[in-house]
Amino acid sequence: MATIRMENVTKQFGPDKQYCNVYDFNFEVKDGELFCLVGPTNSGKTTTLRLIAGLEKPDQGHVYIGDWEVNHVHPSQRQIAMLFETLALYPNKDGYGNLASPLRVRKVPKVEIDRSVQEVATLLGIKHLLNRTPETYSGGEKQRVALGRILVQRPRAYLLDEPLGALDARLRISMRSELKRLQRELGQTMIFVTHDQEEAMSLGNRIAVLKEGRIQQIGTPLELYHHPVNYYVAKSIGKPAMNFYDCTLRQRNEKTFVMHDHFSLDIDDRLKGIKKQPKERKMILGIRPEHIDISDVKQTEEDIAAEVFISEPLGAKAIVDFKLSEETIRALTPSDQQFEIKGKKWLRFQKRKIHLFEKESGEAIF
Amino acid sequence: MGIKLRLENLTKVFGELVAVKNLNLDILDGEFICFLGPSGCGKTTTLNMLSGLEEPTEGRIILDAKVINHLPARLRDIGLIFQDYAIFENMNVYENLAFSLRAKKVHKDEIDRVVKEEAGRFQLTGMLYKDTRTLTPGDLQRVAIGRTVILAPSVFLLDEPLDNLDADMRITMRGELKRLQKDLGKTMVYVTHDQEEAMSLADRIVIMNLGELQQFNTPVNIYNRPTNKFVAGFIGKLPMNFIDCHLKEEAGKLILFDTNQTFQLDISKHRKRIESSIPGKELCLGIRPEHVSMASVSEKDSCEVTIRNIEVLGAENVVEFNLKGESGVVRRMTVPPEVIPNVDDRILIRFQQEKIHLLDHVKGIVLI
Repeated sequence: MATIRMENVTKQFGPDKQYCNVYDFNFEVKDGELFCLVGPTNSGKTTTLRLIAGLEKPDQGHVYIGDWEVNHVHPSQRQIAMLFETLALYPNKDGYGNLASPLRVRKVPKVEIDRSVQEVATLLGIKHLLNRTPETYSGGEKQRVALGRILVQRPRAYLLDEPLGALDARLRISMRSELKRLQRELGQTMIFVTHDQEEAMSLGNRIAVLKEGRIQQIGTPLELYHHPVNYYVAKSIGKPAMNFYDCTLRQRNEKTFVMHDHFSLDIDDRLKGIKKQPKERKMILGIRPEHIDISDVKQTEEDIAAEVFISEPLGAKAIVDFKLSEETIRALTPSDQQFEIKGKKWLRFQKRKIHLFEKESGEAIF
Repeated sequence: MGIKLRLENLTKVFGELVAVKNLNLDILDGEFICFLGPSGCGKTTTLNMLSGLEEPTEGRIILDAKVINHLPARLRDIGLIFQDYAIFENMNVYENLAFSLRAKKVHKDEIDRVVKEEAGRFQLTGMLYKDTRTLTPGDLQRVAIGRTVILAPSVFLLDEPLDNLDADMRITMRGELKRLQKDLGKTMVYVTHDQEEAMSLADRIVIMNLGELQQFNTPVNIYNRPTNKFVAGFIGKLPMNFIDCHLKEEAGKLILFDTNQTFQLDISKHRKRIESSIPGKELCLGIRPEHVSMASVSEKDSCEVTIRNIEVLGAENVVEFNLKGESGVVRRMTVPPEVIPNVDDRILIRFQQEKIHLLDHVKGIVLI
């Protein structure tokens, strides 16, 4: 049983330290959950892992593993295994030696070590690497051996710091599904750190979005995708990214509209029943590329006239960029549609899929 | 549109390694060509031969109807753009852009006019006098490209220029680069390992593997009609599904079925094409994840599969599954975002018939 809980954890480093601060972190990773921390380079993801592993001590707050408060427990005693970005395989040992090393350190009997190593090697399909050293491994093979080395430890939870970072695109995709299936089969708690939002979306049962040491939102991939609580989360999740436009709220004929230089949209229906009514008038409107309808003829009053800037066929879909004076509207379309550069089209934002954020605070209205 | 660049029997051998093997192709004036392939496929070596940084072992390079094999790099009418920008750090943006014109001893009023015009095109007007060390990677790449555009070469060669940029910046610069090329109307030869980049930028793509040309065609044609297994598996964000299968005659129909007989497809209409290619016994069905759909019991070509994994990506979901009796292999289909099956569910699927590929396993060629 291993839930992992952070309660009001704050850690601040001095000015020239390598790691980033974290402020007032509160979250609980459930037993058997695959939890992702996602954010750019300076957001505090690695610090969080190090705090859980015990490589750093919180300045404030508590870290719990299960019911056990572990602030003062040495990393080696926490029964947690961490996989670093650099993998850190022992270059002078073969596959067997690498997998066996954590058990040898603990003075586990030889017979037991052999059983564990063979079991993990079979599970990961790396038996053929046991008698070879790491410099002969491919990227994916190095990954698996590094993963094997933490699996043999049978920890209560796994911490993985950007483990797929060094792999090329195609290999990342296949390793991702392997990892997800493995985690589910083992039923073990896993915290996974990545800067790649697509990776977080595809792997995580739940995701925490981090920005400059503060948690922005915690939720399932779908929750973050469809109901981002602020502008930062909205722009961090989803590829291609959401489109954003500065707008103002106006009242007209007792209805509320968002006004932009080149379009205005009646959002009265969307505002009904929203607890948090907007206090400001400066807004940011957000719409995802796949929620924009394109047609050759104007169909409603709110349709927006735009010119095709460029289209990029991607195989299954195409990305089409439209120009609205100086601004760009990016849409995702089925691949069989043809778009001519400078062609004029009418665009419509799907009303129920529009997002509205207060410009000042970045908070979502809907 | 004439032929801008012709590669004739181009070969490069390093000791025992044949890096580029007998490459033959014509690049037309004003085309955006991408050389695409995995590490070691020969794309960068080919680019190096075009620029003059490497000498071909055999074959000819013909630019604007002139053989340029023996021209040193600096005398070729070619503009180079690298991954590491090669910006002069001790000069500001203006001076970087002006550099080549000053070397040609162009009059300073003319230099000023050209630099300011190009700066406008690349959104660098506001930072002309900025120290290049303070610029973002995206801006640095724009300066590098701007500097080369000012030279007005006959052909541009770009070696993975967007590799150093982060994901968002890459997509933005990609669109800018594509639009720039269309506006200038110049021929561009772009090397990349990223198939999405090649798909989005190129008029035509040269796919290479192990030094050899695999296919040379438009992105759409390569995607829909790959000519061999390597191309079929390499192109596409998600890998194509390859399922071993066999042919049999039944009641006058040509039936395709997998080893465990979980599906049977009537492909009689392709009979002519298959017979004329003398297929080996080992066949392989290729189908892209987006061409696998959920099916109903009434559809006779449906088959039952077990769900192994689901990835929720927002705009769509990726479902991993296995056919009956299969293990250790991953098959994928994409489904709309509202469809979220459970792991271990059994569902019916079918392959969209018009999108099936049939490959000869042994020879690796695509029959359908």
